[in-house]
Amino acid sequence: MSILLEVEDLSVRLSGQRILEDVSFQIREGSLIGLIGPNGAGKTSLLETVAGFIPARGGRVRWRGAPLAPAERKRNIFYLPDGIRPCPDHRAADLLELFRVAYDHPRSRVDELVDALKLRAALGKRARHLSKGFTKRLLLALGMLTHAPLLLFDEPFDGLDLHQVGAVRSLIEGLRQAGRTLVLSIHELALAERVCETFLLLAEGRLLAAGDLESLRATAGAADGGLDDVFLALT
Amino acid sequence: MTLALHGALWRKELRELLLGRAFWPLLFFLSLLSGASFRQALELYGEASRAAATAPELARSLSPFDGVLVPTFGSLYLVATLLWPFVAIRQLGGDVQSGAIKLTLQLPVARPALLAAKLIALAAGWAAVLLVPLSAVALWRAMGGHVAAGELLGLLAGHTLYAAVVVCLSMAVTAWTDSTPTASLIVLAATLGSWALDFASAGREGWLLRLGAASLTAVIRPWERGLFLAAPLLSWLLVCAGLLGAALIGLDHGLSPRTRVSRMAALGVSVGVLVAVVGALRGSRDLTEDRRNSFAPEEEAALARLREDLDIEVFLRPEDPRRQDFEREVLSKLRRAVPRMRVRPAAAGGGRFGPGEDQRYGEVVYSYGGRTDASRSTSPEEVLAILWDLSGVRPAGVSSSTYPGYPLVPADRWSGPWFYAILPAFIAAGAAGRWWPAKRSSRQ
Repeated sequence: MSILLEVEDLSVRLSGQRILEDVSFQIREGSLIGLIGPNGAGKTSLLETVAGFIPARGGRVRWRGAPLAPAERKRNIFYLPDGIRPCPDHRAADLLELFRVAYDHPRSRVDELVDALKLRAALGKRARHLSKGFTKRLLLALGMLTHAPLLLFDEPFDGLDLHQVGAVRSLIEGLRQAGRTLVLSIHELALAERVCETFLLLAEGRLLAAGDLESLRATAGAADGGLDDVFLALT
Repeated sequence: MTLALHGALWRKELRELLLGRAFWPLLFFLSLLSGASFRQALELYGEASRAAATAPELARSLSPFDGVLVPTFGSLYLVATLLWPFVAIRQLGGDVQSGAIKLTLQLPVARPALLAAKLIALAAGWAAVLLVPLSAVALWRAMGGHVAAGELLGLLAGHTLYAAVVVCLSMAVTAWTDSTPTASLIVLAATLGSWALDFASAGREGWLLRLGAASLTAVIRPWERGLFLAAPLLSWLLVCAGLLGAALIGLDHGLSPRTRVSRMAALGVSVGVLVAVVGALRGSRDLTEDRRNSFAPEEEAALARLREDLDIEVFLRPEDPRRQDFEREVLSKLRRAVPRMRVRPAAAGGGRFGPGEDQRYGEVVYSYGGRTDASRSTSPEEVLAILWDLSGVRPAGVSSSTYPGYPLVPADRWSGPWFYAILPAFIAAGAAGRWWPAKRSSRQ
């Protein structure tokens, strides 16, 4: 697998506070990466900086080896934020239609996503009236309608029940099989361990470890531990 | 990007406008305000017309533009100042507040196109807003009232330009503050502050007058006098473009603070230079049917032949009614007609030439081609006679005004029911049609 995205020495300061410090990692094409770390570690800031929403104070972001300016990132990267309720007065169906048209999909693709994410009952509702779970699934459907080769999803499983988590996992697997690369910020470590194959462990704005579970275990000195043991050992 | 995506974005923005909390109340209050202004204007115009029945010369001074149109559209100014900013701010602020902006900025469309979709929706909204005072014009016509197309179009253009400036300011402030309440405070401070500044600078000179001329309220002033002036129109359009540029920079979240500041500085300098350049333009047109802003065509042709500098020194305080009369009846007309003219306010500041303090108070001194003359008259006829004597240029005959005046005692039966009942009911029905499905959606 070739290297899709390369982040070198990325630093971010907001209002004089250090948010990210010299973060470096690589993302291989077609991989499924879990971004993990304690609350306030800088996971969302990292995703938003890579997506071009927060200016980096220092560092480089390369796409297939070439520098990628913030203004050009949306061509290759789509970032799905957590905790937003977009266009609260619009119906869910209106938002899906906007993204369908924007990314030139047939209506059948929206129907597939709506059925897979069990969104049918929410289509006629205004976004402001959707439950947290419905909102999250609507956002995921929007993100999955985009064409960007690299998808950055912030807490994609937050607010979902076990059935819904299963449905989203299948869809994510489908995206991977279609050649997409995904970075998922997940605070629930057991879930991250089940879903992702490689991990970026962030704490206090620094990247503590990166790699698959085996290499993280080696770094943490927790030979048989799960991701939570690694997390506790390293943070 | 396909036309379909543009269409989808426009539909989204139009929905945003129609579902907004501010748009329908704006229309509702505008209906009531327009009704009150229109009915009062009709009453006063009717009284003046009754008096004109016994004094035919008075009839020639009765212009529906001053008597009916300008007062009726005054309600539009009020609404554009106080309520329209909320509509404009919400159009972008709604996306910022809900986080939708992070999704829409990633759509395969350039940021200017995203902003353009919002502007198109607001333009459509403003067209709907204009229908309210335009319905008063329709009622006026139905009563047999006269409307000069140029005057009406000029008034519509002036108010539309003002609304456009408010929109662009709202977009810029919202993009930079990331908070709808803060943006509302700032934009209202600008619109209401301009209002206060306009009031404070009336009848003043010097820096206060210049500041007043740069206030938002100054956008409408020439149009309300039935005057098209190229320089202020182009200047305000450039300011609008600059504000939209500022909004685009504000929406580029990936820019470092230093880059943002340097781009804003470059934008500010560019707009400033361009405004200074277009400020020198002299293009103008009197849109009024009675040519109140102009001398007779033959006189204007003669004035255009004055090739040397015309200096006018005015020994009158700005707040003196004679000075205001002189400004309106003579100076503003001369500025449009004479190629090179300079007015020096000799009485400005300090009160050195106040009545009783200076023998020259009330005098106006004219200098042209090394010759000088002075007069205390503010009458256009006498001033022009002085200028003809000084320059040796004379008009080839002067045609008298053919403006007949349009007295009318209107039989008004419909304005009350229309503005206070029927139109508000339509607006309420429109609001309910957009809001009710939203309520129903919450119960599903």
